[in-house]
Amino acid sequence: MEVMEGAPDPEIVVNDWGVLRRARARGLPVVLGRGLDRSVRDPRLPDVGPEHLGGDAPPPSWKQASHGASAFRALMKRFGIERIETDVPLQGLASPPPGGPAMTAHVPWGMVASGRVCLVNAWGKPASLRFVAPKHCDAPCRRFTIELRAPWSRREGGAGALPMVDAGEILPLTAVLNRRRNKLPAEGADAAPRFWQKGNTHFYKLEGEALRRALDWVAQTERVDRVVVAPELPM
Amino acid sequence: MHILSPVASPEEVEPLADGGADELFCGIFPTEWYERWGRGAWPNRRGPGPANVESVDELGAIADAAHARDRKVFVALNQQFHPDDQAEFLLELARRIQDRGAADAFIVTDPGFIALLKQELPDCSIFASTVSVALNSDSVKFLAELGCDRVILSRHLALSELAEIRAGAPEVELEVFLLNDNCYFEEGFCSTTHTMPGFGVYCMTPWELQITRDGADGAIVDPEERARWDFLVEEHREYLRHLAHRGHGDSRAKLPLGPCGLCAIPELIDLGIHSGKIVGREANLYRKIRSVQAVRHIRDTYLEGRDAKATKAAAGELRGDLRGCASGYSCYYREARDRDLIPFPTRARGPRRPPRKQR
Repeated sequence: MEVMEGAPDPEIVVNDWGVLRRARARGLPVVLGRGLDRSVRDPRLPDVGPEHLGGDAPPPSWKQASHGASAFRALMKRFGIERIETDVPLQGLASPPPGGPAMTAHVPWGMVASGRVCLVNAWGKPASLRFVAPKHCDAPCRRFTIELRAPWSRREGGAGALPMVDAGEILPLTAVLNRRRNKLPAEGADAAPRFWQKGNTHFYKLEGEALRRALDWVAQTERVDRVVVAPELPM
Repeated sequence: MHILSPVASPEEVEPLADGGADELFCGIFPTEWYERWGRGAWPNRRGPGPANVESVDELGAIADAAHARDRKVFVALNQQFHPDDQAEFLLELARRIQDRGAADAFIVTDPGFIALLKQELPDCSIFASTVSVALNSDSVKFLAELGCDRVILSRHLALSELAEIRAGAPEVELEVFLLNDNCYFEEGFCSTTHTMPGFGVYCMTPWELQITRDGADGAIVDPEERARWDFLVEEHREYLRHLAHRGHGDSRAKLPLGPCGLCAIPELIDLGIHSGKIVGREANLYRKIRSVQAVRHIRDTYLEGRDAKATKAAAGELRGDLRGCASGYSCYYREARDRDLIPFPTRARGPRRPPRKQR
Protein backbone atom coordinates (compact mmCIF):
# COMPACT_ATOMS: atom_id res chain seq x y z
CA MET A 1 0.00 0.00 0.00
CA GLU A 2 2.96 2.30 0.59
CA VAL A 3 3.90 1.81 -3.05
CA MET A 4 0.35 2.47 -4.15
CA GLU A 5 0.24 5.73 -2.23
CA GLY A 6 2.87 7.14 -4.56
CA ALA A 7 1.40 5.69 -7.72
CA PRO A 8 -0.52 7.85 -10.20
CA ASP A 9 -4.25 7.10 -10.28
CA PRO A 10 -4.03 3.90 -8.20
CA GLU A 11 -6.72 1.26 -7.79
CA ILE A 12 -6.52 -1.51 -5.21
CA VAL A 13 -8.61 -4.57 -5.92
CA VAL A 14 -9.53 -6.12 -2.58
CA ASN A 15 -10.96 -9.51 -1.81
CA ASP A 16 -10.70 -9.20 1.94
CA TRP A 17 -12.62 -6.88 4.24
CA GLY A 18 -9.51 -6.29 6.33
CA VAL A 19 -7.54 -5.08 3.32
CA LEU A 20 -10.45 -2.80 2.46
CA ARG A 21 -10.29 -1.32 5.96
CA ARG A 22 -6.56 -0.72 5.70
CA ALA A 23 -6.78 0.82 2.24
CA ARG A 24 -9.52 3.16 3.35
CA ALA A 25 -7.48 4.21 6.37
CA ARG A 26 -4.80 5.34 3.91
CA GLY A 27 -7.31 7.02 1.65
CA LEU A 28 -6.56 4.70 -1.27
CA PRO A 29 -9.28 4.06 -3.87
CA VAL A 30 -10.62 0.56 -3.65
CA VAL A 31 -12.25 -1.79 -6.16
CA LEU A 32 -14.17 -4.72 -4.72
CA GLY A 33 -12.82 -7.91 -6.23
CA ARG A 34 -14.90 -10.73 -7.61
CA GLY A 35 -14.36 -12.75 -4.44
CA LEU A 36 -16.52 -10.25 -2.58
CA ASP A 37 -19.18 -10.01 -5.28
CA ARG A 38 -21.05 -13.05 -4.12
CA SER A 39 -23.16 -15.01 -6.57
CA VAL A 40 -23.92 -18.64 -7.27
CA ARG A 41 -21.18 -19.77 -9.63
CA ASP A 42 -21.68 -23.48 -9.30
CA PRO A 43 -20.66 -24.87 -12.69
CA ARG A 44 -23.27 -27.62 -12.38
CA LEU A 45 -26.18 -25.18 -12.50
CA PRO A 46 -26.63 -25.06 -16.29
CA ASP A 47 -27.59 -28.72 -16.06
CA VAL A 48 -30.11 -28.29 -13.28
CA GLY A 49 -33.80 -28.26 -14.02
CA PRO A 50 -37.01 -28.48 -12.04
CA GLU A 51 -36.68 -32.28 -11.99
CA HIS A 52 -33.65 -31.87 -9.72
CA LEU A 53 -35.54 -29.52 -7.43
CA GLY A 54 -38.60 -31.62 -6.84
CA GLY A 55 -40.53 -29.67 -9.46
CA ASP A 56 -39.61 -26.23 -8.09
CA ALA A 57 -38.39 -23.64 -10.56
CA PRO A 58 -34.78 -22.52 -10.16
CA PRO A 59 -34.90 -19.39 -7.99
CA PRO A 60 -34.12 -15.95 -9.46
CA SER A 61 -31.23 -15.59 -6.98
CA TRP A 62 -29.22 -18.05 -9.08
CA LYS A 63 -28.88 -15.23 -11.61
CA GLN A 64 -28.33 -12.43 -9.13
CA ALA A 65 -25.28 -11.19 -7.27
CA SER A 66 -24.24 -8.89 -4.45
CA HIS A 67 -23.68 -6.01 -6.87
CA GLY A 68 -27.40 -5.80 -7.57
CA ALA A 69 -28.57 -5.78 -3.96
CA SER A 70 -29.63 -2.39 -2.57
CA ALA A 71 -28.15 -3.04 0.88
CA PHE A 72 -24.81 -4.04 -0.60
CA ARG A 73 -24.78 -1.00 -2.87
CA ALA A 74 -25.51 1.21 0.13
CA LEU A 75 -22.57 -0.38 1.94
CA MET A 76 -20.29 0.31 -1.02
CA LYS A 77 -21.46 3.91 -1.14
CA ARG A 78 -20.86 4.26 2.59
CA PHE A 79 -17.26 3.16 2.09
CA GLY A 80 -16.73 5.23 -1.01
CA ILE A 81 -16.28 2.23 -3.31
CA GLU A 82 -17.17 3.07 -6.87
CA ARG A 83 -16.28 -0.09 -8.75
CA ILE A 84 -16.88 -3.81 -8.32
CA GLU A 85 -15.57 -6.75 -10.31
CA THR A 86 -17.79 -9.62 -11.25
CA ASP A 87 -17.83 -13.05 -12.86
CA VAL A 88 -20.59 -14.06 -15.24
CA PRO A 89 -21.77 -17.50 -14.17
CA LEU A 90 -22.35 -20.28 -16.68
CA GLN A 91 -26.11 -20.04 -16.11
CA GLY A 92 -25.99 -16.30 -16.90
CA LEU A 93 -26.76 -13.15 -14.95
CA ALA A 94 -29.87 -11.03 -14.85
CA SER A 95 -29.42 -7.35 -15.56
CA PRO A 96 -28.81 -5.54 -12.28
CA PRO A 97 -31.14 -2.69 -11.30
CA PRO A 98 -30.18 0.71 -12.74
CA GLY A 99 -27.58 2.81 -11.02
CA GLY A 100 -25.04 1.33 -8.69
CA PRO A 101 -21.27 1.11 -8.98
CA ALA A 102 -19.22 0.87 -12.14
CA MET A 103 -18.49 -2.74 -12.99
CA THR A 104 -15.67 -4.81 -14.39
CA ALA A 105 -16.47 -8.19 -15.92
CA HIS A 106 -13.98 -11.05 -16.06
CA VAL A 107 -13.97 -13.41 -19.04
CA PRO A 108 -13.60 -16.20 -19.88
CA TRP A 109 -12.49 -17.67 -16.54
CA GLY A 110 -14.85 -17.55 -13.58
CA MET A 111 -14.01 -18.42 -10.02
CA VAL A 112 -15.95 -21.37 -8.62
CA ALA A 113 -14.35 -21.62 -5.21
CA SER A 114 -11.13 -20.91 -3.44
CA GLY A 115 -9.58 -21.74 -0.13
CA ARG A 116 -6.36 -22.04 1.79
CA VAL A 117 -5.90 -25.77 1.27
CA CYS A 118 -3.88 -26.39 -1.86
CA LEU A 119 -3.20 -29.64 -3.65
CA VAL A 120 -0.23 -28.33 -5.60
CA ASN A 121 1.34 -26.69 -2.58
CA ALA A 122 1.29 -30.08 -0.84
CA TRP A 123 3.77 -31.44 -3.39
CA GLY A 124 6.82 -32.92 -1.71
CA LYS A 125 5.71 -32.04 1.81
CA PRO A 126 5.39 -34.38 4.77
CA ALA A 127 1.89 -35.32 5.90
CA SER A 128 1.88 -32.78 8.71
CA LEU A 129 2.26 -29.93 6.19
CA ARG A 130 -0.03 -31.26 3.48
CA PHE A 131 -3.48 -29.77 2.90
CA VAL A 132 -3.16 -27.10 5.50
CA ALA A 133 -2.91 -23.34 5.06
CA PRO A 134 0.78 -22.80 4.28
CA LYS A 135 2.84 -20.29 6.24
CA HIS A 136 4.13 -18.99 2.96
CA CYS A 137 3.68 -20.01 -0.64
CA ASP A 138 6.25 -20.01 -3.41
CA ALA A 139 3.47 -20.50 -5.94
CA PRO A 140 4.27 -23.90 -7.46
CA CYS A 141 0.95 -23.51 -9.28
CA ARG A 142 2.79 -21.24 -11.71
CA ARG A 143 4.05 -24.44 -13.30
CA PHE A 144 1.08 -26.79 -13.05
CA THR A 145 -2.55 -26.81 -14.14
CA ILE A 146 -5.07 -29.37 -13.01
CA GLU A 147 -7.97 -30.26 -15.22
CA LEU A 148 -11.02 -31.67 -13.46
CA ARG A 149 -13.78 -33.69 -14.97
CA ALA A 150 -16.95 -34.96 -13.42
CA PRO A 151 -17.64 -38.28 -15.13
CA TRP A 152 -21.12 -38.58 -13.64
CA SER A 153 -22.35 -35.63 -15.64
CA ARG A 154 -23.24 -35.84 -19.30
CA ARG A 155 -24.01 -32.39 -20.49
CA GLU A 156 -24.94 -33.19 -24.05
CA GLY A 157 -27.99 -35.09 -22.85
CA GLY A 158 -29.43 -32.05 -21.12
CA ALA A 159 -30.45 -31.83 -17.52
CA GLY A 160 -32.44 -35.05 -17.68
CA ALA A 161 -29.27 -36.99 -18.45
CA LEU A 162 -27.68 -36.12 -15.15
CA PRO A 163 -27.81 -39.12 -12.86
CA MET A 164 -29.48 -38.61 -9.53
CA VAL A 165 -27.15 -39.86 -6.85
CA ASP A 166 -30.14 -40.38 -4.58
CA ALA A 167 -31.67 -42.66 -7.17
CA GLY A 168 -28.86 -45.09 -6.57
CA GLU A 169 -27.43 -44.96 -10.06
CA ILE A 170 -23.94 -46.37 -10.00
CA LEU A 171 -21.38 -46.04 -12.73
CA PRO A 172 -20.04 -49.38 -13.89
CA LEU A 173 -16.56 -49.99 -12.52
CA THR A 174 -15.14 -50.39 -15.98
CA ALA A 175 -16.36 -46.90 -16.89
CA VAL A 176 -14.32 -45.52 -14.03
CA LEU A 177 -11.25 -47.64 -14.64
CA ASN A 178 -11.22 -46.80 -18.32
CA ARG A 179 -10.94 -43.16 -17.42
CA ARG A 180 -7.92 -43.55 -15.24
CA ARG A 181 -6.55 -40.22 -14.16
CA ASN A 182 -3.98 -38.66 -16.43
CA LYS A 183 -5.46 -40.57 -19.34
CA LEU A 184 -8.61 -38.57 -19.81
CA PRO A 185 -10.23 -38.59 -23.24
CA ALA A 186 -9.09 -35.78 -25.49
CA GLU A 187 -10.90 -32.48 -25.54
CA GLY A 188 -13.99 -32.73 -27.68
CA ALA A 189 -14.17 -36.50 -27.31
CA ASP A 190 -15.68 -36.31 -23.86
CA ALA A 191 -18.99 -34.79 -22.88
CA ALA A 192 -18.16 -34.54 -19.18
CA PRO A 193 -17.98 -30.95 -17.96
CA ARG A 194 -14.42 -29.70 -17.64
CA PHE A 195 -13.21 -27.41 -14.89
CA TRP A 196 -9.77 -26.22 -13.95
CA GLN A 197 -7.77 -25.81 -10.82
CA LYS A 198 -4.92 -23.39 -10.45
CA GLY A 199 -3.35 -23.63 -7.04
CA ASN A 200 -6.15 -23.50 -4.51
CA THR A 201 -8.86 -22.16 -6.82
CA HIS A 202 -11.34 -23.90 -9.09
CA PHE A 203 -12.40 -22.14 -12.28
CA TYR A 204 -14.97 -22.64 -15.00
CA LYS A 205 -14.48 -21.34 -18.52
CA LEU A 206 -17.04 -19.44 -20.53
CA GLU A 207 -17.05 -21.04 -23.96
CA GLY A 208 -19.39 -21.17 -26.94
CA GLU A 209 -22.94 -20.18 -26.12
CA ALA A 210 -22.09 -19.32 -22.49
CA LEU A 211 -19.40 -16.90 -23.66
CA ARG A 212 -21.73 -15.29 -26.22
CA ARG A 213 -24.39 -14.90 -23.54
CA ALA A 214 -21.86 -13.35 -21.16
CA LEU A 215 -20.69 -10.87 -23.77
CA ASP A 216 -24.32 -9.97 -24.55
CA TRP A 217 -24.82 -9.32 -20.86
CA VAL A 218 -21.73 -7.12 -20.81
CA ALA A 219 -22.97 -5.16 -23.83
CA GLN A 220 -26.44 -4.68 -22.36
CA THR A 221 -25.38 -3.76 -18.86
CA GLU A 222 -24.81 -0.07 -18.76
CA ARG A 223 -22.59 -0.07 -15.68
CA VAL A 224 -20.06 -2.51 -17.13
CA ASP A 225 -17.41 -0.30 -18.65
CA ARG A 226 -14.41 -2.56 -18.34
CA VAL A 227 -13.73 -6.17 -19.31
CA VAL A 228 -10.75 -8.14 -18.10
CA VAL A 229 -9.82 -10.84 -20.60
CA ALA A 230 -7.46 -13.46 -19.27
CA PRO A 231 -6.10 -15.64 -22.06
CA GLU A 232 -4.62 -18.05 -19.51
CA LEU A 233 -5.92 -19.31 -16.20
CA PRO A 234 -5.59 -16.49 -13.68
CA MET A 235 -3.34 -16.88 -10.67
CA MET B 1 -14.70 -20.62 26.66
CA HIS B 2 -18.38 -21.28 26.07
CA ILE B 3 -19.56 -24.42 24.36
CA LEU B 4 -21.86 -23.61 21.45
CA SER B 5 -24.08 -26.47 20.40
CA PRO B 6 -26.43 -26.89 17.47
CA VAL B 7 -30.09 -27.37 18.29
CA ALA B 8 -33.00 -28.21 16.04
CA SER B 9 -36.08 -28.49 18.26
CA PRO B 10 -37.37 -27.37 21.66
CA GLU B 11 -37.08 -30.94 22.95
CA GLU B 12 -33.32 -30.93 22.36
CA VAL B 13 -32.66 -27.94 24.59
CA GLU B 14 -32.83 -29.65 27.97
CA PRO B 15 -30.54 -32.60 27.22
CA LEU B 16 -28.02 -30.36 25.46
CA ALA B 17 -28.01 -27.85 28.29
CA ASP B 18 -27.66 -30.64 30.83
CA GLY B 19 -24.88 -32.12 28.73
CA GLY B 20 -22.88 -28.91 28.99
CA ALA B 21 -23.92 -26.58 26.19
CA ASP B 22 -23.57 -22.95 27.27
CA GLU B 23 -25.04 -21.51 24.09
CA LEU B 24 -27.21 -22.86 21.29
CA PHE B 25 -27.59 -22.04 17.62
CA CYS B 26 -30.08 -23.09 15.02
CA GLY B 27 -31.44 -22.08 11.65
CA ILE B 28 -34.84 -21.14 10.38
CA PHE B 29 -36.37 -22.06 7.01
CA PRO B 30 -39.88 -20.61 7.17
CA THR B 31 -42.66 -22.26 5.25
CA GLU B 32 -43.39 -18.89 3.61
CA TRP B 33 -39.84 -18.80 2.27
CA TYR B 34 -40.23 -22.23 0.75
CA GLU B 35 -43.56 -21.28 -0.84
CA ARG B 36 -41.95 -18.21 -2.39
CA TRP B 37 -38.57 -19.43 -3.58
CA GLY B 38 -38.77 -23.22 -3.48
CA ARG B 39 -35.97 -25.50 -2.39
CA GLY B 40 -33.36 -23.93 -4.66
CA ALA B 41 -32.75 -20.89 -2.46
CA TRP B 42 -31.95 -21.07 1.22
CA PRO B 43 -32.09 -18.36 3.89
CA ASN B 44 -29.03 -19.86 5.57
CA ARG B 45 -26.37 -22.46 4.85
CA ARG B 46 -28.66 -25.45 5.34
CA GLY B 47 -31.70 -26.51 3.41
CA PRO B 48 -35.19 -27.42 4.52
CA GLY B 49 -35.22 -30.38 6.86
CA PRO B 50 -33.80 -31.30 10.24
CA ALA B 51 -31.21 -28.50 10.26
CA ASN B 52 -33.84 -25.80 10.41
CA VAL B 53 -36.99 -24.95 12.31
CA GLU B 54 -39.93 -23.89 10.20
CA SER B 55 -41.55 -21.08 12.15
CA VAL B 56 -40.90 -18.22 14.53
CA ASP B 57 -43.15 -19.98 17.05
CA GLU B 58 -40.94 -23.07 17.02
CA LEU B 59 -37.85 -20.91 17.34
CA GLY B 60 -39.53 -19.07 20.19
CA ALA B 61 -40.20 -22.35 21.96
CA ILE B 62 -36.49 -23.19 21.69
CA ALA B 63 -35.60 -19.77 23.08
CA ASP B 64 -38.08 -20.13 25.95
CA ALA B 65 -36.63 -23.50 26.90
CA ALA B 66 -33.09 -22.14 26.63
CA HIS B 67 -33.78 -18.98 28.59
CA ALA B 68 -35.38 -21.05 31.34
CA ARG B 69 -31.97 -22.72 31.70
CA ASP B 70 -30.06 -19.46 31.38
CA ARG B 71 -28.80 -20.29 27.90
CA LYS B 72 -28.81 -18.08 24.82
CA VAL B 73 -29.99 -18.99 21.33
CA PHE B 74 -28.57 -17.66 18.07
CA VAL B 75 -30.28 -18.07 14.73
CA ALA B 76 -28.52 -18.32 11.36
CA LEU B 77 -29.55 -16.13 8.43
CA ASN B 78 -26.16 -16.55 6.86
CA GLN B 79 -26.58 -17.14 3.16
CA GLN B 80 -23.76 -15.68 1.06
CA PHE B 81 -25.80 -12.73 -0.18
CA HIS B 82 -29.39 -11.60 -0.13
CA PRO B 83 -31.06 -10.06 -3.18
CA ASP B 84 -33.53 -7.29 -2.39
CA ASP B 85 -36.66 -9.43 -2.16
CA GLN B 86 -34.99 -11.95 0.13
CA ALA B 87 -33.39 -9.21 2.27
CA GLU B 88 -36.81 -7.63 2.69
CA PHE B 89 -38.28 -10.97 3.73
CA LEU B 90 -35.45 -11.66 6.18
CA LEU B 91 -35.64 -8.19 7.69
CA GLU B 92 -39.30 -8.71 8.43
CA LEU B 93 -38.53 -12.18 9.77
CA ALA B 94 -35.82 -10.75 12.02
CA ARG B 95 -38.27 -8.16 13.30
CA ARG B 96 -40.76 -10.90 14.19
CA ILE B 97 -38.04 -12.95 15.86
CA GLN B 98 -36.91 -10.00 17.91
CA ASP B 99 -40.47 -9.03 18.90
CA ARG B 100 -41.09 -12.59 20.03
CA GLY B 101 -37.77 -12.78 21.87
CA ALA B 102 -37.07 -15.91 19.86
CA ALA B 103 -33.32 -15.39 19.48
CA ASP B 104 -30.53 -13.58 21.28
CA ALA B 105 -28.45 -12.93 18.16
CA PHE B 106 -28.59 -13.25 14.40
CA ILE B 107 -25.76 -14.98 12.57
CA VAL B 108 -25.33 -13.11 9.29
CA THR B 109 -22.87 -13.19 6.37
CA ASP B 110 -23.76 -10.46 3.89
CA PRO B 111 -22.15 -7.21 5.12
CA GLY B 112 -24.79 -5.20 3.29
CA PHE B 113 -27.49 -7.05 5.18
CA ILE B 114 -25.55 -6.70 8.45
CA ALA B 115 -25.57 -2.93 8.00
CA LEU B 116 -29.25 -2.94 7.03
CA LEU B 117 -30.19 -5.10 10.01
CA LYS B 118 -28.29 -2.86 12.41
CA GLN B 119 -29.92 0.20 10.93
CA GLU B 120 -33.46 -1.17 11.12
CA LEU B 121 -33.11 -3.12 14.38
CA PRO B 122 -30.44 -1.22 16.30
CA ASP B 123 -31.01 -3.21 19.49
CA CYS B 124 -30.41 -6.61 17.91
CA SER B 125 -27.20 -8.51 18.41
CA ILE B 126 -25.43 -9.68 15.26
CA PHE B 127 -22.71 -12.28 14.88
CA ALA B 128 -20.66 -12.30 11.68
CA SER B 129 -20.85 -15.78 10.19
CA THR B 130 -17.73 -17.69 9.24
CA VAL B 131 -18.97 -17.22 5.67
CA SER B 132 -18.05 -13.53 6.02
CA VAL B 133 -14.41 -14.71 5.87
CA ALA B 134 -12.55 -13.02 8.68
CA LEU B 135 -8.94 -14.09 8.22
CA ASN B 136 -7.22 -11.23 10.03
CA SER B 137 -7.78 -8.69 12.78
CA ASP B 138 -8.65 -5.91 10.33
CA SER B 139 -11.48 -8.02 8.92
CA VAL B 140 -12.70 -8.64 12.46
CA LYS B 141 -12.61 -4.91 13.17
CA PHE B 142 -14.39 -4.14 9.90
CA LEU B 143 -17.24 -6.49 10.82
CA ALA B 144 -17.34 -5.15 14.38
CA GLU B 145 -17.56 -1.60 13.05
CA LEU B 146 -20.57 -2.67 10.97
CA GLY B 147 -22.26 -3.68 14.20
CA CYS B 148 -21.24 -7.27 14.87
CA ASP B 149 -20.81 -8.23 18.51
CA ARG B 150 -19.06 -11.47 17.67
CA VAL B 151 -17.09 -12.72 14.71
CA ILE B 152 -17.05 -16.41 13.84
CA LEU B 153 -13.62 -17.01 12.41
CA SER B 154 -12.62 -19.08 9.42
CA ARG B 155 -12.24 -22.83 9.81
CA HIS B 156 -8.74 -22.79 8.36
CA LEU B 157 -6.90 -20.45 10.69
CA ALA B 158 -3.84 -21.68 12.56
CA LEU B 159 -3.48 -21.12 16.28
CA SER B 160 -0.73 -18.57 15.61
CA GLU B 161 -3.12 -16.65 13.36
CA LEU B 162 -5.83 -16.80 16.01
CA ALA B 163 -3.35 -15.32 18.47
CA GLU B 164 -2.61 -12.44 16.08
CA ILE B 165 -6.31 -11.77 15.61
CA ARG B 166 -6.96 -11.91 19.33
CA ALA B 167 -4.16 -9.43 19.95
CA GLY B 168 -5.26 -7.16 17.10
CA ALA B 169 -8.94 -7.04 18.01
CA PRO B 170 -9.15 -7.67 21.75
CA GLU B 171 -12.52 -5.98 22.15
CA VAL B 172 -14.45 -8.33 19.84
CA GLU B 173 -15.88 -11.70 20.88
CA LEU B 174 -14.33 -14.48 18.80
CA GLU B 175 -15.86 -17.84 18.03
CA VAL B 176 -14.00 -20.78 16.52
CA PHE B 177 -14.83 -24.23 15.24
CA LEU B 178 -14.24 -27.18 17.53
CA LEU B 179 -15.93 -30.29 16.30
CA ASN B 180 -17.61 -32.18 13.51
CA ASP B 181 -17.53 -30.41 10.21
CA ASN B 182 -15.09 -28.68 7.93
CA CYS B 183 -15.05 -27.28 4.43
CA TYR B 184 -12.49 -27.99 1.76
CA PHE B 185 -12.70 -24.43 0.45
CA GLU B 186 -12.95 -21.24 2.43
CA GLU B 187 -16.70 -21.23 2.89
CA GLY B 188 -17.14 -17.58 2.02
CA PHE B 189 -15.15 -18.00 -1.18
CA CYS B 190 -17.13 -21.02 -2.30
CA SER B 191 -19.76 -20.02 -4.83
CA THR B 192 -21.27 -23.46 -5.21
CA THR B 193 -24.63 -24.44 -3.91
CA HIS B 194 -25.61 -27.34 -1.72
CA THR B 195 -29.20 -26.87 -2.73
CA MET B 196 -29.45 -29.45 -5.45
CA PRO B 197 -30.87 -32.74 -4.24
CA GLY B 198 -29.07 -35.66 -5.77
CA PHE B 199 -25.97 -33.78 -6.80
CA GLY B 200 -24.04 -33.99 -3.59
CA VAL B 201 -21.49 -31.47 -2.42
CA TYR B 202 -19.31 -29.92 -5.11
CA CYS B 203 -16.00 -30.26 -3.26
CA MET B 204 -16.66 -33.95 -2.59
CA THR B 205 -17.11 -34.73 -6.28
CA PRO B 206 -14.98 -37.74 -7.20
CA TRP B 207 -13.05 -35.75 -9.74
CA GLU B 208 -10.94 -37.22 -12.44
CA LEU B 209 -7.75 -35.22 -12.40
CA GLN B 210 -5.24 -34.50 -15.09
CA ILE B 211 -2.17 -32.62 -13.97
CA THR B 212 -0.03 -31.02 -16.61
CA ARG B 213 2.97 -28.76 -16.69
CA ASP B 214 2.24 -25.33 -18.06
CA GLY B 215 3.81 -24.26 -21.31
CA ALA B 216 5.33 -26.52 -23.89
CA ASP B 217 6.12 -29.36 -21.48
CA GLY B 218 2.49 -30.49 -21.19
CA ALA B 219 1.89 -33.97 -19.88
CA ILE B 220 4.03 -35.31 -17.06
CA VAL B 221 5.84 -38.25 -18.61
CA ASP B 222 8.60 -38.96 -16.12
CA PRO B 223 7.40 -42.13 -14.29
CA GLU B 224 8.98 -41.06 -10.99
CA GLU B 225 7.21 -37.71 -11.10
CA ARG B 226 3.95 -39.32 -12.20
CA ALA B 227 4.17 -41.67 -9.24
CA ARG B 228 4.65 -38.76 -6.88
CA TRP B 229 1.61 -36.96 -8.28
CA ASP B 230 -0.44 -40.17 -8.13
CA PHE B 231 0.52 -40.50 -4.49
CA LEU B 232 -0.42 -36.90 -3.77
CA VAL B 233 -3.79 -37.31 -5.48
CA GLU B 234 -4.46 -40.42 -3.37
CA GLU B 235 -3.51 -38.52 -0.24
CA HIS B 236 -5.80 -35.70 -1.33
CA ARG B 237 -8.65 -38.18 -1.57
CA GLU B 238 -7.78 -39.40 1.90
CA TYR B 239 -7.90 -35.82 3.15
CA LEU B 240 -11.35 -35.36 1.62
CA ARG B 241 -12.43 -38.62 3.26
CA HIS B 242 -11.40 -37.18 6.61
CA LEU B 243 -13.41 -34.05 5.90
CA ALA B 244 -16.38 -36.31 5.15
CA HIS B 245 -16.16 -37.98 8.55
CA ARG B 246 -14.38 -40.99 7.11
CA GLY B 247 -17.62 -42.45 5.88
CA HIS B 248 -19.56 -41.02 8.83
CA GLY B 249 -17.98 -43.39 11.30
CA ASP B 250 -17.91 -43.13 15.07
CA SER B 251 -15.09 -43.67 17.50
CA ARG B 252 -15.22 -46.26 20.28
CA ALA B 253 -16.63 -43.53 22.51
CA LYS B 254 -19.33 -42.98 19.90
CA LEU B 255 -17.87 -39.63 18.96
CA PRO B 256 -18.23 -38.72 15.33
CA LEU B 257 -14.92 -39.11 13.54
CA GLY B 258 -15.22 -35.81 11.75
CA PRO B 259 -12.91 -32.81 11.98
CA CYS B 260 -11.82 -32.15 15.52
CA GLY B 261 -10.13 -29.49 17.63
CA LEU B 262 -10.33 -31.15 21.04
CA CYS B 263 -6.62 -31.11 21.75
CA ALA B 264 -6.42 -27.38 20.90
CA ILE B 265 -8.81 -26.48 23.72
CA PRO B 266 -6.02 -25.48 26.15
CA GLU B 267 -4.55 -23.04 23.63
CA LEU B 268 -7.99 -21.69 22.70
CA ILE B 269 -8.82 -21.06 26.36
CA ASP B 270 -5.47 -19.37 26.92
CA LEU B 271 -6.08 -17.17 23.88
CA GLY B 272 -9.34 -15.93 25.33
CA ILE B 273 -11.56 -17.35 22.60
CA HIS B 274 -15.10 -16.65 23.69
CA SER B 275 -16.91 -19.60 22.19
CA GLY B 276 -16.14 -22.98 20.64
CA LYS B 277 -18.60 -24.22 18.09
CA ILE B 278 -19.87 -27.74 17.55
CA VAL B 279 -21.20 -28.08 14.03
CA GLY B 280 -24.12 -30.19 12.87
CA ARG B 281 -27.58 -28.69 13.21
CA GLU B 282 -28.89 -31.55 11.10
CA ALA B 283 -27.32 -34.28 13.25
CA ASN B 284 -29.34 -36.48 15.53
CA LEU B 285 -29.62 -35.60 19.21
CA TYR B 286 -27.34 -38.43 20.32
CA ARG B 287 -24.48 -37.15 18.21
CA LYS B 288 -25.01 -33.62 19.43
CA ILE B 289 -25.01 -34.70 23.07
CA ARG B 290 -21.89 -36.86 22.68
CA SER B 291 -20.12 -33.94 21.04
CA VAL B 292 -21.12 -31.50 23.78
CA GLN B 293 -20.07 -33.96 26.48
CA ALA B 294 -16.71 -34.47 24.83
CA VAL B 295 -15.94 -30.77 24.58
CA ARG B 296 -17.12 -30.15 28.13
CA HIS B 297 -14.99 -32.98 29.48
CA ILE B 298 -11.83 -31.64 27.84
CA ARG B 299 -12.54 -28.00 28.64
CA ASP B 300 -13.27 -28.79 32.28
CA THR B 301 -10.20 -31.01 32.50
CA TYR B 302 -8.06 -28.01 31.60
CA LEU B 303 -9.98 -25.52 33.70
CA GLU B 304 -9.73 -27.79 36.71
CA GLY B 305 -5.99 -27.35 36.66
CA ARG B 306 -4.51 -30.17 34.61
CA ASP B 307 -1.79 -28.94 32.29
CA ALA B 308 -2.05 -28.73 28.52
CA LYS B 309 -0.21 -32.01 27.92
CA ALA B 310 -2.46 -33.93 30.28
CA THR B 311 -5.51 -32.31 28.70
CA LYS B 312 -4.35 -33.27 25.23
CA ALA B 313 -3.75 -36.80 26.44
CA ALA B 314 -7.31 -36.86 27.76
CA ALA B 315 -8.56 -35.57 24.40
CA GLY B 316 -6.70 -38.29 22.54
CA GLU B 317 -7.96 -40.95 24.91
CA LEU B 318 -11.52 -39.71 24.57
CA ARG B 319 -11.41 -39.65 20.80
CA GLY B 320 -9.82 -43.06 20.82
CA ASP B 321 -8.38 -42.71 17.36
CA LEU B 322 -4.75 -41.72 17.73
CA ARG B 323 -3.79 -43.43 14.50
CA GLY B 324 -6.42 -41.33 12.79
CA CYS B 325 -4.89 -38.29 14.46
CA ALA B 326 -1.46 -39.13 13.05
CA SER B 327 -1.96 -37.58 9.61
CA GLY B 328 -3.55 -34.45 11.04
CA TYR B 329 -6.10 -34.49 8.22
CA SER B 330 -8.97 -34.37 10.74
CA CYS B 331 -7.51 -31.49 12.72
CA TYR B 332 -8.87 -27.99 12.78
CA TYR B 333 -5.65 -26.90 14.51
CA ARG B 334 -2.97 -29.30 13.42
CA GLU B 335 -0.16 -27.63 15.32
CA ALA B 336 -1.97 -28.29 18.61
CA ARG B 337 -1.16 -32.00 18.43
CA ASP B 338 1.37 -33.16 20.95
CA ARG B 339 3.82 -35.29 19.02
CA ASP B 340 4.72 -37.28 22.13
CA LEU B 341 1.15 -38.51 22.34
CA ILE B 342 0.49 -39.41 18.74
CA PRO B 343 2.06 -42.49 17.20
CA PHE B 344 3.64 -42.08 13.83
CA PRO B 345 2.50 -44.52 11.17
CA THR B 346 4.40 -47.77 11.43
CA ARG B 347 5.04 -47.72 7.71
CA ALA B 348 6.16 -44.52 6.08
CA ARG B 349 3.74 -43.58 3.33
CA GLY B 350 5.10 -42.28 0.12
CA PRO B 351 4.89 -42.64 -3.64
CA ARG B 352 5.31 -46.16 -4.97
CA ARG B 353 8.26 -46.78 -7.20
CA PRO B 354 7.12 -47.17 -10.77
CA PRO B 355 7.45 -50.63 -12.35
CA ARG B 356 11.00 -51.43 -13.47
CA LYS B 357 10.12 -51.38 -17.16
CA GLN B 358 8.98 -47.76 -16.79
CA ARG B 359 12.06 -46.51 -14.97
